[in-house]
Amino acid sequence: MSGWNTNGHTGRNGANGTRGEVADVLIVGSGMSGSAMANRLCAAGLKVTMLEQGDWIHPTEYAHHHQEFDIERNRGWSYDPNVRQGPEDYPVTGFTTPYLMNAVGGSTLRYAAHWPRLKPIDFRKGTELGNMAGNIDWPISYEDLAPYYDINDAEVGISGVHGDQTYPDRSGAPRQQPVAPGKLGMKFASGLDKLGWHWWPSDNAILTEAKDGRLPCNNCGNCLCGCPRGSLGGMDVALLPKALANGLDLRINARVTRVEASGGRATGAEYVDRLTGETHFVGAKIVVVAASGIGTPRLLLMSAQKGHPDGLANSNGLVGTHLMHHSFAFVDCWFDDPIEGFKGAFGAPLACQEFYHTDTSRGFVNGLMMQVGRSFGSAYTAMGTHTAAIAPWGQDHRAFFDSRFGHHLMVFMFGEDLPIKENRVTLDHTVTDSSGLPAAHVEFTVSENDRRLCDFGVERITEVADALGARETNHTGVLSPPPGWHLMGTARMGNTPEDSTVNRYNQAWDVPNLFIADGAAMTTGGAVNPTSTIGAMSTRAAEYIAQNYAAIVAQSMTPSNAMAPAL
Amino acid sequence: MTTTRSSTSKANGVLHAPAPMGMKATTPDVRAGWAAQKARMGGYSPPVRFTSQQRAVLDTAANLIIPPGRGFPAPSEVEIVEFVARYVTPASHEVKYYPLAAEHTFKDQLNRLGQEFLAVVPSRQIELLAALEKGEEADATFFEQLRALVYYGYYARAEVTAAIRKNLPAGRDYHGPPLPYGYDDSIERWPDKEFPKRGTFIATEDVRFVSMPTDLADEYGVQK
Repeated sequence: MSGWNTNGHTGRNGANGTRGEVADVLIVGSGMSGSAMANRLCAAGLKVTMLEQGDWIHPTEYAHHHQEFDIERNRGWSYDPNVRQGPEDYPVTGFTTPYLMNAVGGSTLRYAAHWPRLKPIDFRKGTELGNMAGNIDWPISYEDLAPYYDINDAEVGISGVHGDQTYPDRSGAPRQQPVAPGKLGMKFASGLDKLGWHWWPSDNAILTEAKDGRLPCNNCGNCLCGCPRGSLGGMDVALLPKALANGLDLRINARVTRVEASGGRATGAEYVDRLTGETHFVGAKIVVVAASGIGTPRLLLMSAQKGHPDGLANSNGLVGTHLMHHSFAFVDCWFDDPIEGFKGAFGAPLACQEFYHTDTSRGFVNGLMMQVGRSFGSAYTAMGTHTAAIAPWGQDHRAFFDSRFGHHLMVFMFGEDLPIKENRVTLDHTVTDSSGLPAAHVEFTVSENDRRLCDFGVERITEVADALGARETNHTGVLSPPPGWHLMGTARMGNTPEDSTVNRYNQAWDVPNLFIADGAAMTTGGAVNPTSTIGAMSTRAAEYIAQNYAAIVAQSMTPSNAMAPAL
Repeated sequence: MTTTRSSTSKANGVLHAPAPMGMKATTPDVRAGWAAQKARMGGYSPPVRFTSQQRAVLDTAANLIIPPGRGFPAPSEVEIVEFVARYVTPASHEVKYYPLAAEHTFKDQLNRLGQEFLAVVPSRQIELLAALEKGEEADATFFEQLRALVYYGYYARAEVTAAIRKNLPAGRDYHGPPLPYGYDDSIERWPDKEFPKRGTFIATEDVRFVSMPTDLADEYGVQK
């Protein structure tokens, strides 16, 4: 199977199959959630249509071969749609730095691909913290999700090492060789060893061995800007080719304007073909919204209609609320010896979870992960690396640059943030996308607990740097707003129709044939990157749909968690 | 049923939508692909044209921002002006991409420096640049754009990458653009030994309510 499928360039608007028919399942969005859903449902023989407002990105369009790749990351290759300003992007206003992609594969096209799982305790934050902020228990346990982590891992292709004691056994998930640590990874590991703290080579959705026509990583270091080799686990190469081979009807440049409902059930979605400007409607027996923790609430709120005056699936007013990004601070460390941070998969060569669990003697709840990152190119060094430590101009420039380039090690202070109801996504009708649809608007405040957590984490990372004899460290302090790579919680999975938007199988309480299985459905975020959990959750929801398709199509009410059939 | 509603929904169509997010009235054809609808990689083509005096000011200023030496060439030797000309936004285009330097404004600042800047001794030239850096908003913005263009342009040049390889032990393998080469042949793998087994996890059945610090419990209204 070719990793690069350009079918979408010519196969838009239903030329692949279901035009004129009602889809069994309509999926909005082609990122991790949508792709996992499509892959599983197409393999099960269901007729699936997927609508993606962006286009395919061709390997030759990436900046990796370009000598000016460093500056291009601030322009057309910015993480931020407000900077890229592509016609397929939608604006995100408010207090936010949104980092998301609108293209086939969604935000998996360019990400660290760090692939840690949630831990068992992450599903029980209501038990651990009571009603603090918006905490509730997930309606499922780690054990419920574990088999689907394994399935999705095997499909995507994950590198890493079994045996980390801070997780239940996960030997059911195949692992390729871990990504190379380089001097950078081994340096930080040695510092953690000096302190006797936990670390383990990270799981990453980065191939170290060829798979499905995708090349193994050659450690070029530019994962955050995508991967023309297909080594990075972008869904355009990892899952969608399989779904297309099984009959997926993928419509690109297809911007959904609203999901329609009648009689308490979703009937399909209206979309604009961005190529022609024409508006179409796709009927479906089941609709899955998988447009990200910002895009999904935006679409549900845009779908206000008769019977759903405040937006679809929003009778309790929770759509858009409890937005989580993870708390972040960046710590740059410089050493006298070579670190060569320009080499190696960005993902994460290793992570430290020594301080993952709540210890209230520290003055806060929840925990953190130290995640080691890389350094980009030489221009990035001159421009200040991750903490705006910009090189001086003039006579001091050469000594500054020469002592820093290749001597730099960056660590993400990556903390669990509380699900605060007031941190939310709404609509901004004063700004529109290229189809005239309202922008998403984000309100976000870093809460006191999460600030304390960040400060503590920065101190611990500095402690490692000191143990290693770092010449200098610099940090951002708590980033407010946090970098918006992780978009979670805005249509969450929960225990009752009062505390959440979807049930334990991602089925909307208000609309039984509407499913939400992306980051929006995450009840809490843990202190780990969310993509592996999103993939597992969507795979599980897909299995539920496949096993109970006829029952779901016939339902007039969403079953309670207790009444929903077991998988 | 799949139906088409084009006749009544033109207002939602891209061809008839108001220009959002500062977009130009005419946008590239969607069929041109993803990248064609973004900032052009490599900057604008054709680039901005500078006068000979403007080029001289740029070369001189760039050489002061990154002085040559210790094995590194001067910015003027690696044609920094050619880079700047591609990344300053031509007057014919809307200013929407980093570093948000508009042709007329940028040239006005170069002209203000002008012959007087070129005629004085380097120490005075440095003072004039420092005055811009610390000056009013327009001056400081210009300086920030100029410095960014010099940094990004200079370190993108193959000659500078070669100097890094030759002169910096920590950069001996650096080859500039990440691909096609990558660093597979020079990056260290994990040694062949056991990883340290430290830490544990809390099993699902072992999760308990934690005793909250009083101030946090009060702030968040925690009730068990």
